[in-house]
Amino acid sequence: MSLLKIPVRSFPRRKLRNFLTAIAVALSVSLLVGVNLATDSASHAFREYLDKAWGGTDLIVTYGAPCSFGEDNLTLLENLEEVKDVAKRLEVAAFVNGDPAEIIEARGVDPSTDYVYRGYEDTIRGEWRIAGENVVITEALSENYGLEIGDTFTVTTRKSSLEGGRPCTLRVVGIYELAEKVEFNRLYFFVDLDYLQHVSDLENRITSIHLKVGDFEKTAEIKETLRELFGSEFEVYAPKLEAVEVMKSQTESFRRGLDAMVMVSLVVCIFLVFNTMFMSVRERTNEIGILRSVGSSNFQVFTVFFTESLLLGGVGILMGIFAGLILAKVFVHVFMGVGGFPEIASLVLTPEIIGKGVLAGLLAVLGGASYPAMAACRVTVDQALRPEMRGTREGSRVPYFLAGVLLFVSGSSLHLGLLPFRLPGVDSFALLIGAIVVTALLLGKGSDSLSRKLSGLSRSLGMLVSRNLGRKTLRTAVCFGIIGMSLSFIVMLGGLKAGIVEAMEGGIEESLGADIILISEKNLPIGFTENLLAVGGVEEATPVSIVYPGTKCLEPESRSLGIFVVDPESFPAIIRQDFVEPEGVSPEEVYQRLALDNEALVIPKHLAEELGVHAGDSLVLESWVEVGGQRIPDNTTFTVVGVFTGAILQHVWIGLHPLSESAVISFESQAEHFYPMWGRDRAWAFLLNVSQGYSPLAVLERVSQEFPEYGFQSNSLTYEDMVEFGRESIDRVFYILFAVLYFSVFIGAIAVAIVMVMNVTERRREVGILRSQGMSRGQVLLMFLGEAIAMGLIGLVISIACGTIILKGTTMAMAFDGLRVRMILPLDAILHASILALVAALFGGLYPAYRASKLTVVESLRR
Amino acid sequence: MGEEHLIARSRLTPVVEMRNLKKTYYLGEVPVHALRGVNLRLFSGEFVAIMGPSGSGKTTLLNLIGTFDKPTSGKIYIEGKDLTKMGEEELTALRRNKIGFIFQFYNLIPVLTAFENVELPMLIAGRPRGERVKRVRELLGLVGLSSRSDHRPDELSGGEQQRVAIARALANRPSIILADEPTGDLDTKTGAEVVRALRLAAEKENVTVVVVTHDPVVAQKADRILEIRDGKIRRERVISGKRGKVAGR
Ligand SMILES: Nc1ncnc2c1ncn2[C@@H]1O[C@H](COP(=O)(O)OP(=O)(O)OP(=O)(O)O)[C@@H](O)[C@H]1O
Ligand SMILES: [Mg+2]
Repeated sequence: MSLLKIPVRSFPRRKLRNFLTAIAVALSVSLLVGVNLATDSASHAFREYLDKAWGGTDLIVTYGAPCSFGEDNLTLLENLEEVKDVAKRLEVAAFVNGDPAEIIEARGVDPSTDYVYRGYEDTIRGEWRIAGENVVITEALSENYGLEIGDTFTVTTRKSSLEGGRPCTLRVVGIYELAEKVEFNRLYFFVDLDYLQHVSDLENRITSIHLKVGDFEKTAEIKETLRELFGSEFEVYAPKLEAVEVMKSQTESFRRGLDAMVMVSLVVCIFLVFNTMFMSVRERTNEIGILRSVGSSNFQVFTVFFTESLLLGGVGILMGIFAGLILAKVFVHVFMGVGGFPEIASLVLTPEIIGKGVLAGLLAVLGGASYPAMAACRVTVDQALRPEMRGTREGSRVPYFLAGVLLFVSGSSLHLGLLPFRLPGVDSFALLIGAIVVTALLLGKGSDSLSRKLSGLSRSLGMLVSRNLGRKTLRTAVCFGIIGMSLSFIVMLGGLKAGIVEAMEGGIEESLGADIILISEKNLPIGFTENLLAVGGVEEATPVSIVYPGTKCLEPESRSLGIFVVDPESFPAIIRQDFVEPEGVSPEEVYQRLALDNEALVIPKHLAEELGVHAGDSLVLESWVEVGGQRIPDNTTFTVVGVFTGAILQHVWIGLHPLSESAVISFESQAEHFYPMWGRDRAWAFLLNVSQGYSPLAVLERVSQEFPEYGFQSNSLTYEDMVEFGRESIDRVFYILFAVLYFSVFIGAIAVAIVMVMNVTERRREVGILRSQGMSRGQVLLMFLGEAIAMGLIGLVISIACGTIILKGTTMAMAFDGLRVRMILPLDAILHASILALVAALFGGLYPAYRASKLTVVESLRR
Repeated sequence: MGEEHLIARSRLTPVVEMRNLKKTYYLGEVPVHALRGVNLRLFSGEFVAIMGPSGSGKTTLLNLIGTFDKPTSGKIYIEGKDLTKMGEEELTALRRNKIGFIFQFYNLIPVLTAFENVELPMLIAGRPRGERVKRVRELLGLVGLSSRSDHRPDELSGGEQQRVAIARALANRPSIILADEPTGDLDTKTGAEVVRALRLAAEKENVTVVVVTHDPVVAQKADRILEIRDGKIRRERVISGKRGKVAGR
């Protein structure tokens, strides 16, 4: 006979308890599986999204900014094996009917060799073969200008625009339907490369090379190779790789938070399994004695109990993996439902994820069961068969108490950075476990004095509840420990969320500066500012523009640079910048210099550091100069007249450069030194401040009603919009984190249920005696419920104390977008935790208490 | 003497009266006739012993008087009120105020001290603190355990535990105490001491006591001995010289 029959047959005996424990294991396994599955499929979906946005293109080589370069550079690529496909492009601005406000883009492609363009064949309605003046336009272009197949339209390309233009007339032969709305600029047309080179006087010149690599993983490597091959004047982008990396870094802290919360649920689960197995060993001491007396070895006893927990784990893991699949669907739905992500078609359970789930389940079970199984081995025949030999070896509790205090103190100081080193992850659990141990021991000692406090409701109940709490210290401690642990993180997350929202609002306020960023669909003359100032509620307005899509910096370093164009008169009145260099200078003084000197610029500190320049140093930028009515490329030396700090306009990007990392020049300077792509003195956006008492949203509404033709409403940003957007994204992240924590709280409720079921069973006879003394069913119910609630409340107290410490440590170690997160006392999080504590206690305690109250006196008094 | 006793009895209203009481349990489909028609009156201040072989229905009878169980047929009256017509709430109140219980073993709540165990029924009944303390002191004195009031059950001997249980059963001044083999777990000598304590206390408080016992020595201390067999009272013996003493008071 195999000894394994014992665990296999014992397993279904304590049905409710084992079932509940298996559910707890299943919960944490499902969390792990769900989280991993959801994030995996999200990144998979993100890759697909990128593939759609960029086609097969992995790398793009440009000469920086809008500059063209000779086609002969393509020969550099000849010996590169890793490159699978190459396409050359000439992209130039084109003005519909020569109007500088009606700018679209001409994409010169070679239809016979361009792999990107060939990839569009299926999505082109009409004819895809282009040649000469036969072109394919985007659907957006078709809608905007009412163009259909067979229609003609006239554009002047960049070069000819300035000279008054030799317009060329093009014929639409096909319409390209973008499958996804993933492109920033959708107003463009495909035209034959040779033809475009010819009409824009750029014979044999191109603006970019698109490359497809054989193995995406090698992109970074090939990028480096290309950098060396082409030299530093050229720029190499890996759009997909960079997007993946940005995505990774942006979701990094979220993932870490998720991992931490999953970890909490695992630890909580270990506690629970420990409790269940320990109770099982205690109850079956007689059985162990019998096993012993028939001569079974330590190992055999160990195996009997260990197998039982493995069975438990197995059931839990199996349920958990299936539940994880469902959970992942929910996560994906909540998190990805908004924000332009395509629906995630399928969730794939990879062997790796299943492996992780199994491992987590085993960890929970083995971690929880090994000590009880070992304790089972240590039971001697004597102890097992003679109950009077058991029990009261009441050793001193002082060492445990000291160990608890030590754990708590060292955990807290580690977490708060009071010690020279850190143990992230371990520290918070150490301080929690310390707090739980100390509380449990104090409770064992102090339950008498507690009774007076609890007796408000009813003296007899209060007395019994508090005494009974002090009775089975271990299992009670496991209960409130689990609840305390989960709620600590609720408190912590609540506080963290409040801190992050505050930091985000502060960040946006600082970065936005203006109340409204008014962005028009068409570019407007800077004089339009006067029209805006005439609208009620507009206090101040200033036009801004950009040098599109940036320019090249040649000295002190060769790199591309964003250029932000402002009006030095009105700009400093709206945007408050702090100038760190030259020392003690006011923004007005700096902008005064900018107004007077067309070779002056100011730059943000971040950029100054990257370039290694200070106020007074110079930058050499690629520019244009007008010679005899013609614009030709040139270099200009600019002087840095100021370096400012602050995250000004960091949320606004032009092309590849966020405004917060762009050099700032005046409109006059732009007119003199840069190619006025959109014509002279034209603004790309206006920054507005509203008068006291006006809401930016209402003012924006009024402006767009006044000037409906510019589409302000849909393009503009207000502080409220951005805060709203920021809040929404923060909310979404925290919903998920809280949801994950709710699992731990749920496990806490299960722990309460298990312990209460045990208590009711063990105290059946006591219930009988109490009922015979005239205690009503209701009072019995309240007594057990009171016990459960008391456990919840003790957990709550632990969580408030520990959660605050953990919050403090976490905010100290954290910064959001470069801004410090302040610790905010999480009052609403504490309320949140209190409600959860009560709910968990009621959820766990109600059924056992109900069962106790339903016991008849006769039943409970029988042996 | 017997004659006088009968006359004395009929003049009093019974504290408990049972009429043709029957109780049938079902083990699956098989009926177990635990009581097959019991007629019995218990009078104020009486000390009655119930004897009978195992399985004869003693505990069943006590549970019916104690309101823990409902009879299959027949009637029980306590102080003239029909138990079979009472709801759960009334029964709980009755248990609280009129009946005290003493069980064979594991009688006390382990987490409470002797004092608190005795106090418990009064707490449940919502008596004021001053009254409780006075009463507990009085009762612990009565059973001779004043010095042990702060001890928990596991620090008391079996006999002491049962004496605490006696004090507790008396706490709310019940009219009847039901004791199911209160000396069953004790040796003869200790058992005799416990019964003496019970008898003494009951006389002082003028409470009717019903004791189920297998021990003839214990039974000899009663006023009446009822013998139950197969769910019926087969014999009733009045112990001479005792009843008169009680009735004479
Ligand atoms: N809940 C029950 N369900 C089924 N049968 C029962 C139940 N309670 C008692 N009985 C049966 O009723 C009969 C009387 O039982 P009871 O407990 O009253 O006997 P007793 O005289 O107290 O015996 P003992 O001296 O052993 O305590 C027995 O045959 C018993 O098996
Ligand atoms: Mg019995």
